[in-house]
Amino acid sequence: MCSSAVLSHQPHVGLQTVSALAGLAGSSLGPCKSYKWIRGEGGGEEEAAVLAGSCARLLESVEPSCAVGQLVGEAVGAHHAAYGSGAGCLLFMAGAWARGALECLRRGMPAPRVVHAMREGLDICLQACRKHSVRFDPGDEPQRAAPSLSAGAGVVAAAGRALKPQRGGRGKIKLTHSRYFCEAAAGTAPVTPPAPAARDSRDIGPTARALSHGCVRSMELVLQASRLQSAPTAASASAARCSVFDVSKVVTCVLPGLSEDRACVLPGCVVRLPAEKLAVVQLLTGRSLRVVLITGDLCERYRHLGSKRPPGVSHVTDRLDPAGPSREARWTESVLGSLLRLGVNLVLVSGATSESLSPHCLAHRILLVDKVSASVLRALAAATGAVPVTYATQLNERCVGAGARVTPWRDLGERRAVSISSEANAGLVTAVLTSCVPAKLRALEDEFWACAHRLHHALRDGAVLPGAGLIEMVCVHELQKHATLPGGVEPGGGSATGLYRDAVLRLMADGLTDYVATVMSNSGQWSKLQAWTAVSQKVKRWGGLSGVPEGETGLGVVPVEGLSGVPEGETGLGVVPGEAADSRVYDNVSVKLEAWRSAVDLVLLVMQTDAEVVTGIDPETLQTETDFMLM
Amino acid sequence: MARLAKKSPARCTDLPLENPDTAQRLDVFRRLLTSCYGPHGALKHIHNNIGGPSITTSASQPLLRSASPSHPLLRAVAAAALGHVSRFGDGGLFAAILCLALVDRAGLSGLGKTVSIGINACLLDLCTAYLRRDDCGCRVRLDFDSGGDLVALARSVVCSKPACMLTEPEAQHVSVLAVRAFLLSVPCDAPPGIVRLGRTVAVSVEGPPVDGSAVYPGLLVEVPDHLGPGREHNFRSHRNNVKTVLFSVSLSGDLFEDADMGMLEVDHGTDVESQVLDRLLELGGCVVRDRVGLLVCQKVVHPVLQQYLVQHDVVVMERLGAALIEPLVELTGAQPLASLVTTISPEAYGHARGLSVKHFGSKRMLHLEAPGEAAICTMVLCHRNQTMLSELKVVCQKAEQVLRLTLREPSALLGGGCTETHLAAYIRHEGINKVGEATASLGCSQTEYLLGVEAFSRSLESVARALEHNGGASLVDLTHGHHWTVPADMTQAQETNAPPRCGCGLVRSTSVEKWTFLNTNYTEFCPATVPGNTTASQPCVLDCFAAKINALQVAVETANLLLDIRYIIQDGN
Repeated sequence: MCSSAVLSHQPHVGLQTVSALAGLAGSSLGPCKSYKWIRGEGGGEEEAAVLAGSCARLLESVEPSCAVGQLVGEAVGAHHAAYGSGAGCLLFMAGAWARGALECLRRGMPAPRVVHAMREGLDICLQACRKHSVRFDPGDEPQRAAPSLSAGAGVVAAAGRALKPQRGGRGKIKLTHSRYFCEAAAGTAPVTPPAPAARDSRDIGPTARALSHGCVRSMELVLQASRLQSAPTAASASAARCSVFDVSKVVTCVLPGLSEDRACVLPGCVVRLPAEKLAVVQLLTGRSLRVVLITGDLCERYRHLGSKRPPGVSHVTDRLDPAGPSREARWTESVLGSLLRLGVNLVLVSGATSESLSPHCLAHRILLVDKVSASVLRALAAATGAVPVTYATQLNERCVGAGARVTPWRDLGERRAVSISSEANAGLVTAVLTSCVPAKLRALEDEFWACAHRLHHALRDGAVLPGAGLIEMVCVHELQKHATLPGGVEPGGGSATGLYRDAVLRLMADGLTDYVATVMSNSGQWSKLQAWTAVSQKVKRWGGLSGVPEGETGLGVVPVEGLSGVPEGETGLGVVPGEAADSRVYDNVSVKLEAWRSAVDLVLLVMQTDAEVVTGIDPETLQTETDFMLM
Repeated sequence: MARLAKKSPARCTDLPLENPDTAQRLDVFRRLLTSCYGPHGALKHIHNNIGGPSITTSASQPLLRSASPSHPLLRAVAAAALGHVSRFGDGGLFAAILCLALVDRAGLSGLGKTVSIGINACLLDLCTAYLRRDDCGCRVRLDFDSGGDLVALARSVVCSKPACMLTEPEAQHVSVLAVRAFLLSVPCDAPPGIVRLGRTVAVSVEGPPVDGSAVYPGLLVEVPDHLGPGREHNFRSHRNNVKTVLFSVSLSGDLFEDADMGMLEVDHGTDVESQVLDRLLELGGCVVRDRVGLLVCQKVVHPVLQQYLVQHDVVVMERLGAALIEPLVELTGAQPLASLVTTISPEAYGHARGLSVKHFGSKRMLHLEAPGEAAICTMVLCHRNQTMLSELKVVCQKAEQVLRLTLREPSALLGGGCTETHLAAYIRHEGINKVGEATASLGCSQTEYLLGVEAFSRSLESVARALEHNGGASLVDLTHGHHWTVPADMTQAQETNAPPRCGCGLVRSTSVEKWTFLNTNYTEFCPATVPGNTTASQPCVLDCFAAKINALQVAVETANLLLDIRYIIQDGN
C-alpha cells in the first residue's frame, strides 16, 4: 500500500540544503577556478571521467534528487539555458542568501517580513547596478559614460581613456595570470592583434578581454569568431546584422591530441569526414556549389516525426520471381536521380545517411555530409536560399540553394577536417578546440561557450558592470547605507519591522561580501578571512570618504585600483595605477541581475516552504524513521 | 503448477475517530492544510519516493491531487474538497480545514455523535439562511458599474497564494488582467435568457517578468521553433479574413490511427505509403483550390503536404493537441474534419479575421482574431520560473471561475477571516436566544445544544485564526464581530492598540471600542452591520459568495459523514 508522509523541518532543512548545494559553486567562481573530476559509473570510455569547470555542468552531473535540489537544479538549468554563464554566481548567491535567511529565522523573524525585506534589498542592488552600469556602443570600448551616469563611472572611463596608449606595449603582461597562457605561447598564439587599419570603430577587443574573467585564451577565440562573423564579404550587404555576436551560428569542433595552442577559429562549419570523401572535396574546392538540406535521416526507412509505422503490412505476389530491385535499391536510385537532375553537389543531412547511398554519391561527385547541427542548417538555409526538406523525394528546384563552398582544412589521421561555408556570409564560425588531455576538452568547450555568451550579452545589453567584485561592493555599500536610513515602513507592520528590515539588508550585504571574498580567496593569494577583511574595510572607507549625499565620487575613484586588484591576486589591492586600464574587468548586466533575482526567488520559495510531502511510501519501511508522519 | 495465494482477511476498524492512530493522522492532515491557508501560508514540496518531479505549492487543488492521503477518512475529506474546487475554484482549503475542525471540536465537546450531527446540520441551515438574508452583515453587493469590486475580488484570489511571489504592482496587474479576460469572455450581443460565456485560454511563458503578461482577444497558438525563417514571410502575407480549415484527423500519412488493426496484405510492388500520400496531396489540392489561408491540424501534417501547402501560401499549424481544437472551432466557426476526405464541403470552412505573429520571450505565437463576436480570449502569463508560473496559472484559473460565479449571484463575502468571526458571533447569539425552539426540534437538552453551538463557532473561528502563521494574535471586535490580526512583534509593545483596519478592511479601529482574543470566551452579542453609507471605506479583501457558501455546506456535510462512520473495513489484498 502506498501512503503519503509529511516530513517536517525543524531548523529549516530546505535552506540548509540550498546552502550545502551552493558549496559546489564556491570553487568555480572567479578567474581562478578549480576543476572537479566527475566520474561516471560504468559509462563508456570517453565519458568515464571528465573535468568540470563550470557550475552548471557540475550540477548537471550531480543531479540532486531531493525536492529542494530539484528546485535548485531547475533554477540553475533555466538560467544557464537563457544566459550561458552566471550559473555559479546564481548558485553561490542562493547559498549565501539562504544562510542569511536561516539567520533571520533563527532570530525569530516572521517569514513575510523577511520576504518583504529581501525583495527590497534586491531592488536596492538592482538600482545600484543600473546606476553604475557602464554603457557603450557595440563598436566602442565602454569608456564613454552615458549622460545619466554618475560621476563615478565617468572616473573609471576617464582613467581608461588616459591610459589607453600604453596598451600596445603591454600586450603580454596582462596575460600572465592565466594558467593556460605562458609567455612563449603569446607570440605563437593564433590570435594576431588586429592591424591598425583593420581596427575600425567596431573594435570590441578591450571590452571582450575585460569580460574574459581569466579565460583569456578562450576569449581571444571568441573575439576572432566575432570578427569573422561580422566581416563583410563581397556578397553580403547586410553585415550590420551581425553587430550582436550571434552565438547560435558558432560551432565548436573538438580535436583531442593536439596541444592547446593549436586552437583556432575558422569561417564556416568544420566537419570531420572520412578519408575516402576527400577526393570529392578536392574536386569541389573553390567552386560555387548547389546544396540541399535534409532534416532527419537520409535513408529509406526513415519517417518523419509523429508518423506511425503501419503495424503489419505483408506483401503478397502471384509470381515466383520476387527478386527484382529491392525497395532500398529503388529508393537509392530515385534519390540519386533527383540529386543528379537538380545538379546538386553538396547534401547536408541532420541525421544519419544510408550506407548504400554514399558510394553512389561519391561516384557522381556529390558530397554527402551527415550529422550537421540544426543551427548550421538554418544558417546555410538563410545564406544560400535552400529550403530544408524532410524527404529526398520532396526535392525540387526551389529547395536547392546556391553558393555553398567546401574547403579542405587539415589532415587528422584517418579523418579529414573540411570547412563548409557559403559565398554570402552566413555568419557561421567554427572554433576548433584542442587539448592533449581529452578529459579537459569538455571543460575547454564550456569555457569557450561561457565567454561567447558573455560577449553576446554584453553587446546585446550595450552596457557592462564594473566587475572584479566592484559592483558587489557597491551593492554592499548601498545595502548598508539603506540599513541605517529609515526606510519604507510596511503597512500593518509592527514597531520591530524597521529592525527586521535593517537586519535582513545587512545579512544580504554579508552574502555579497562573502561572494567577493570567495572569489579573492580562490586566487590563492588571500585567505578567506583576509579577503573578507579587505573587502569590508574598503566598503567602510567609501562610507567614510564620501558621506551619504555624494557617495558616487568616492566610489568612482577607488574602483580603478579595485578593479585590477581584486581578481588578479598578484598585485593586491594597492595596485600601481598605470596598470589599471589593461586589467579592467567587466561583468554582464542582464546576466548578473537575473542571476541575483533567481537566487532571491529560490531562497524565498524554499524559505516559505515548511514541509515536504513524500508520496508513494511503503508504510512498512517507515517503522524506523521518526522524521515522517503518516497521513 | 497452480499456486494458491493465501488471502488475508479484511481489516476492520471500530469507531475510527477514537482510534489514536487515526486521530494522529487527522491532526497531521489538519496541520498540513492549516499551515497552507491564506496569503502568508507556508508552501509544501510534494514529490514521490523515487525522485520524480517535485511541485511546490500551497493551493488546494495541486496539493490534494498530488499528495493524496492513504487513510480512508482523509481521502474522503480530500475528495470532498477537490470536488468543491473543481466546481467553484475557490475555498478548497477552507472546506477541508473547517471540516477537520468540526470533527475535532465534536470530539472535544464530548457530545454524542448523533447529537453533534443534528446540531451541525441545524446550524448550517442557520448560517446559509443568514448569509442569504438582505441584512446580512458580512455580505456586500457587487457593483458592476465600475471594475473596482471585481478587481478586488480577483485580487483577493491572486494574493492568496504566496508561491506566485508577486509584488504589489504585479498582483494588481494580474488581477486587472483576470478581470479583463473575464469581461472579454462575456458575449456582447447574447439573446436574453440563456447567456453562454466564452472561454479563456491560458498560455504560460517562462522567463519574461510578470509585467509582460497580457490578455488578447482571440487565440494565441505557439509556433514551434523548427519552422524556418521562410515561414515568417508565409505568415505576413495573410492579414485579414483568412479562410480556415481544421483537421482533427492526423495528416501524417499513417495508414491507421490505431496501431492494433491487424495484418494488411497488399500486392507486391504496391507502395501503400505513396498512395496515402497521393490522397493527402489530393486533399491539399482541394484546400488550395478553395483558397484556404490557414490549415490547422490537431496532429501531425506530412512534410510533403506541408511543403506543397506552404508553396501555395497556406499557413500550416500542426500538433496543436486536443485542448485547443474546441476553442478554435468556436473562434473560426469551422467544423473539425475527422477523416481524410477528398473534397471539403463549404460549410466545413471557417474564418479568422487576421493572423499575426507575436513574440513573448523566446516563444513565437500566432495570433488568430475572431471574425465575429466570439467571446474567446487568451491570457499569456509570464513569470520568471516554472514553479511560480504554475502557481500563477492555478491562481488565474481560480480567479476566472470566481468572477464567473458573480454573474449568478452578484455579491461577495468579506474576506480576511471577517465572515467566519462574524458568523460565529451571530450563531452564538442566535443559539442562545433561540435555544428553546432548537432543542424542541432536535430533541436534545439545552446544555447539549449550547455545547454544540460553541463547538461550531469555535470551528469557524479556528479557520479565521488559521490565517495567522507567525505567532501573531487574532482578535475579534465586540461590535461588528470582525477579525483583526496583530503581528507578533506588536503584541507585547502596544497591547491596547489594535491594527488600523480589520481583516477585510471594512472597519476602522476608530469605530470599535472593545476587542477580545479569538480563543477566549466572550459574552454573546448581536454583531452589528457596518453602515454602508457612513463609512467611506471599501472592503479590500473579498471572497466569492457562491464558493464560500458551498464550501461551508461541503465542510459540514463531510464532517457529519465522518462523525457518522462506525466501522472502516479495508480489504488488504
